[in-house]
Order: sequence, then structure tokens, then C-alpha cells
Amino acid sequence: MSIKEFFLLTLLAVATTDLTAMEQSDALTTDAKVEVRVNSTLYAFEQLPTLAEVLEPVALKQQWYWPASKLFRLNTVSLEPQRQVLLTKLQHIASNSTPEQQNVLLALQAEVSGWQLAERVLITVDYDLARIAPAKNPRFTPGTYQLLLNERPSYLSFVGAISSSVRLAYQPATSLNEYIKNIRLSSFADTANLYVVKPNGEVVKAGVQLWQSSQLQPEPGAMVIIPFQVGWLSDEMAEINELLITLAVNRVY
Amino acid sequence: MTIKKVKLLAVLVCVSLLSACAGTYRTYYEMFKLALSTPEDVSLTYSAIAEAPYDFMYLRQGEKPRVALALAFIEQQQFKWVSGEQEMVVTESGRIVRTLGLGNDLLFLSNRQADPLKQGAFRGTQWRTAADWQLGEYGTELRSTFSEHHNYQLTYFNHVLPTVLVIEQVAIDTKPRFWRFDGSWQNLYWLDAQTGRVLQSRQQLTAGQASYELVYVSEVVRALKRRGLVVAGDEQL
Repeated sequence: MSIKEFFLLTLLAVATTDLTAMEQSDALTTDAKVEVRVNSTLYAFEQLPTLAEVLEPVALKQQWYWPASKLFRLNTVSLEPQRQVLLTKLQHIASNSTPEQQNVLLALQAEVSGWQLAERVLITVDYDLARIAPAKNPRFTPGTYQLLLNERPSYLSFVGAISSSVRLAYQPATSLNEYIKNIRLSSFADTANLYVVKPNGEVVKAGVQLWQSSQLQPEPGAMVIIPFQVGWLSDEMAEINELLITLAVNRVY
Repeated sequence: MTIKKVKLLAVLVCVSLLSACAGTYRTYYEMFKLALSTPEDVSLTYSAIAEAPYDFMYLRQGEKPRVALALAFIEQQQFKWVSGEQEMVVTESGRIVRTLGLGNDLLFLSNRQADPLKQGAFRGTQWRTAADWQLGEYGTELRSTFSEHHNYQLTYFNHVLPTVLVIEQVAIDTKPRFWRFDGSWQNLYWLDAQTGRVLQSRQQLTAGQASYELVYVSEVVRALKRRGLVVAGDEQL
């Protein structure tokens, strides 16, 4: 590769994002507006910004841990109907259950009632990646967004078929199997089918009863869903598990 | 149990064993894939490096051909080097602290402020850090012990530069996910004897991974100029 070719390739890698942004913003001078609340600060954009443009004012203010960044869209379809279905189902089953089951179900009901929900935008949020790879620097569409940036999280959350939702201190290089030993599981927890909601919104199925999955190390900041055994009350519990996973992915936290 | 059922059971056990190590094999696969992707070593002339508006660094991963990266950003005490293929290597005081686009990327390295490379103190110094990896290893704890050795000479553009060789003995403190032989290794850093800046290094970021060889070629050119050494413009490194 000649020096000229190398310069060209290198410059293209860094500059294509801006070039693309400029070309597109000329064509996209609409009245559309983008508002992004980054943690607690609101930023308004008159023209549709790229991800790098949204991150630019805040990216270097702290040492953000990009794998734990989360983007939500606030002005789209509400997740409230799904929450209400879940809460109703939990109430219904609790009314016909043993005291132990009631405690677990009502604790989960109270937990989910307090969640802030919004549509999760499943993209990689990384300022460096957005600047060097145009494909990782998408342009926002009009709307209102919540962007959560964090330093490296120091906790893991557990929710589901347990006596109460709990947040455990993150332990380095620790498998899910080890964490579960410290959780008070209910008698109807399905530990063969756990779900790890990664901080980026991806859901991974795991199981501490399956030895081949027990070495899975959850990411700092991940949320572990402990589902209910489906056989307990069959279809209704399967629906509860599915709703719980959906809402967990779209939980603003 | 019939012979057929025994065979089926044996196959299932083998598949289970292989799937348990999938993360490790995927890492090796990514390394192997990357190793085959670049055709030849890059080589720049003295004048190209000296006159470039950016700093350059050579990087070789394992047995792969050497590539050149340009310094695109200096932010938060970090130097961010980009390749022509949308890859990024982030260094702090010469140490790789993050990678993007190299397969199983290094996401995070803790306790960087206390890094002896940043402090400039090496004799008997110890340092602990923890690394997060893209393919599912988080908080892998590493323990380093440093030593320094003077009067090492490196030759660039047919001129000899005196350097200080810093040897970092690294060991993994975390219980490994999978049984392995290679729980410790050495990283080498050659520092300009005048300025203490890293001119060249060989770094392995975790066990079982190929080493990265880095040459900070723009820093080399500055070191030669500082000493008044004359190099022909078309000479290549």
C-alpha cells in the first residue's frame, strides 16, 4: 500500500461520517426536531443529528463505559398496556395462590409498577465507534429520546421469581452460577431458563442447572430475569415470563 | 441399551463439551480470521512520516503483516489510533487500553491512573488491573511486576537510539473459565533514554492471545531529529 493510499483510507475512515452527515443534513432541513435528554441534561437539535453529533457535547465529560450505554425513544408506542396485562395476571394468580406464592407475585407486581418504561433503541452507543465507522453512526429520526450514559456499573440486578428484586454488587470474573447462590429463589423459580438482559438490550438465555452455561459471566450492569416455572400454571406463567422480559428490555434504568 | 443409543449418547456428550468452550474457540477463530486479512507489511519513508500532519504507529498482531495507524484523536490522556479499515487502538502512555474492530475487543482496563508506565517508576513496581473483553469475560484480574534495564539500543533508519527496556511480568489472578497453560507472560516497552517516551513495545493483552508489536514511528522520527541525526527522505522503516 502506498503512502497516498494509506492517507486516503485513513482519512476516509475518520472523515466519512462528517461528510455523510453534511450531505444528508443539507437534504434534511426539515422542521423536524430531535430532543435528547442525556442523563439529566436536555439537548435540542433543529436538524436531524447523527449519533456522534448527539454524543459530542457529553462524550468527553467523563470516562463513560460505552457497553452500558442505553438509548430509549420516548414518543412512540406506549408499553403501558403490556405492563397492565402483566400486573393484572400477577394479581389474578396471586389471588389463587399459597402465601409464599402470593408474596413473590405481589412483590414482583410492586416492582414492575415502579418501572419507567420506554421503547429501547437497539443500537450500539459508542462515541469512538460512531466516529470511525459510518455504519455505527446512524442519524436520529424526529422525536424525543432518553440517552443514559454510565461509568462502569458496579452492580447486577435480579428480578422475577424471587422473594424480592435485588441488586448485588458486581464481582469481577464471576459466573452467573455463583451469583445465583446468593439469591433467595422461590420454590417455583425456573433456574434452567434464566434470561440475562445485557446493558445494551440484548437478551441471552442461560441456565444455572445446565453445566455448559454456568460459566456465563454477566456484564456489569446486566439484569437477570429469573422466570417462573411454566408447568406451575402453564400458559399464563409463560405469558408472564415473556411480558417480564419485554418490559425489562424497555426499562429505563 | 443398544449400540446405536450408546453412539448417540457419546455424540451428545461430545457436542456438549464443545459448546462449553465455544467462547474460547470463537476468540481463536476471530484471531485466525484477522491474521489472514492483510496481504503485506506496510513501510513508510522518513519524509512521509516526518511531513505527515498526523502521528503514525506501526502495529503487528501476532504473525499478521504490519499495518500503520494514524493518530486521529488525543482525548482524556488517551491516544486514539485508527486504521484504514475502521479499527481503533487506544493507548495511554504506550499501553493498549482499548481496541475496536479487532475481533474480541478489549473494552475496559481499570486502575489506569496507577499504571507505572504513566508514573514512570518501574524498579520493583507492582500494578493490578482488571480487563473486560467483548466475548464474555468481565473483570479478569491481572497482576504486573516491572523491572527496568538500561543501555538497550534500537536501530531505526540506520541510526542507533539508546533506550531503557521496561519488562512487565504479567500474571492472571482470576480463576480461569477454562483450563489453560498460559497464565503469565512478559510485555516489553522500549523507552527513549532522553525523554522516557515509549518508542516501541510488545504487548500481550490476555492469556492465549497473540502479541501486539507497536512502533511509534513518528516518535522515533522526533527522537532522531532531537539528536540532530540526518536521514535521507526516501529511506524506509
